[in-house]
Formats: sequence, C-alpha cells, structure tokens
Amino acid sequence: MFKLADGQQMLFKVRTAESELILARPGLGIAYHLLVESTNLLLHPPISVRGDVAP
Amino acid sequence: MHYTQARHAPPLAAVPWKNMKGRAWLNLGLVVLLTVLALIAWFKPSQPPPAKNLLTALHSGAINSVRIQRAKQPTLEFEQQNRQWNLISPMQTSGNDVRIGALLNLATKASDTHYNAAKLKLAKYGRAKPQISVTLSARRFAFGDMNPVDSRCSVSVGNTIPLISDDPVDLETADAAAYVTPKVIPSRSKINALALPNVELTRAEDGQWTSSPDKISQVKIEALIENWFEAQAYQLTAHEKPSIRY
Repeated sequence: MFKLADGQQMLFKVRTAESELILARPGLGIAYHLLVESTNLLLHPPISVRGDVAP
Repeated sequence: MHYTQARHAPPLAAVPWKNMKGRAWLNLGLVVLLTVLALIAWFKPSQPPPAKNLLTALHSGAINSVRIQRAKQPTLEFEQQNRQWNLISPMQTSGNDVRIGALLNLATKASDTHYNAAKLKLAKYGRAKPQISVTLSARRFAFGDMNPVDSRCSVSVGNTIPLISDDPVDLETADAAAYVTPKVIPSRSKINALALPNVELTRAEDGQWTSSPDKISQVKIEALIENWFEAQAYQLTAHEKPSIRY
C-alpha cells in the first residue's frame, strides 16, 4: 500500500502467477499484469544485514 | 536532246523523297508521331496528387476533452489537465496517451472520398443508428460499417460522410482498462509511505527514508521507489474476477 503526499492511498493486491505478477487496484477496478521478473524489483528490497564485516 | 536532259537531271540520291513509295512515307510518319508523343510524355508536367480533405479543421492541440460512446460498452470520458490526459469516467485515473493520441488523430485524418449524408440511404451503410461515436471537444465522429473490399470505414462528421482507412483499433470492444496508463504509479505522484509484505518504508519531511522492522539502506530504498515509478504493465484488465485470489 502506498500513502501519497496528497493524502490518497493506493492499495495493491498482489498475486504471482507462473509467468506474471498481477497488481490489482480494487478501488480502481484495474489489474496490472507485469512480467514475473518484476516481483523482486518491486516487492522484495534487499535488506542490509547488521554486523556485516567489511572486506 | 534526250542525252542533254539526262545529263542535267539531279542525281536520284539528292532527292530521296521523290523516289519514296507510300509505305516508306507511312513509316516516316509513324516515326515522327512516336517522337512527338515521347517528347510530350517526357516534358509533361507532373499531375497534382488527388485532393485529400481533412475530416475537420480542428487542430489536435486544441482538443481538451474526448468522449467514446459505444452501444455495448460503457461510455468513456477523458479530460486534459496540465497537458496530461485523465480518464474521468467510468473511473478516475491517468489515461493512456498512445490510445488517446490515436483518437486525436481523427481530427486531422485525410480522406479522398466524401459523400453527402443527405443523398444517402443511411441504413444501407450502417449509419441509421451508429454503434460507435467519438466526440473530440464538440466535434462528433459517428462510425458506420467498414467496407469489406477496401477495409475503409465511413465516418459521419456533420453532414459529410468521408471514408477513412486505419480507424482506431478495437474501438468497439476495448474496455476502460485499455485506456488507463500502463504505468503502475502515475509519474506525478509523491510517495510518503510504502507498506510491503515484509517491510514498511516511511519518508520523513526532510526526504530521508526509514524502514521497519528491517534496516534497508537509503540508496536501496530510493532504488525501490524508482522501480515502482518505472514499472509498466504489459496488459491491463478489469479487476472483477472474484475467483482470483490475491
């Protein structure tokens, strides 16, 4: 879910199928079909691991 | 006497036409005629192309509203605000610039064949009750049947019915979703917070992002937000299938 500066909210329902990522906006009545490769780029940001030792 | 005449007569080769027969004259005439025709063809001024009339004098830049009315689909309405086209009915969101641009091109589309609506039996051309009409600002274009021979479509513009080719694709069947921008996040949006399945991101007033519960670097958060702004769907559909679980 996004909170925008103008106070609006954008809620996406997420569904991953075999070859696509579907982001649905029920409030708008629209479903966006994206390539499944987008899943990590949009939903799973790389988390910094605490205690990493610098090489 | 006879000798004298023969002696002073000019040689035959000096006046060949005097010895030419009818067939030779005919051949010579044909050669001259062909030469004249070739010269005419060579120096003939180029013909102007057939006159093409624009459907309207309306400039696409002067259009600020678009309405699509169809017999079997809900009416779609668009408005231009701050140089951006927005879909305002049946839903409110950013419009698809490519599709709307194709509609705007109707105003300046050229046609070399026009009919007077008053002189036609409109029902014969599917025009008695047009199934599709597009209104650009105040100009209405009512679409009739397509000619199966040359794939040209008749469009009523006032009292004139021009024939046009390459009319906007799937105008009759495309649903509202097809006219929504494929960008997942409208480019003018300003994001203050994002809640993902495993992490929440919040932007402070100074523009710095914080994440919870896990720690994510500022650079990676900004890259993630940029990914959302760049995300584009390859297809949009109506979200009305309860059988699909999210």
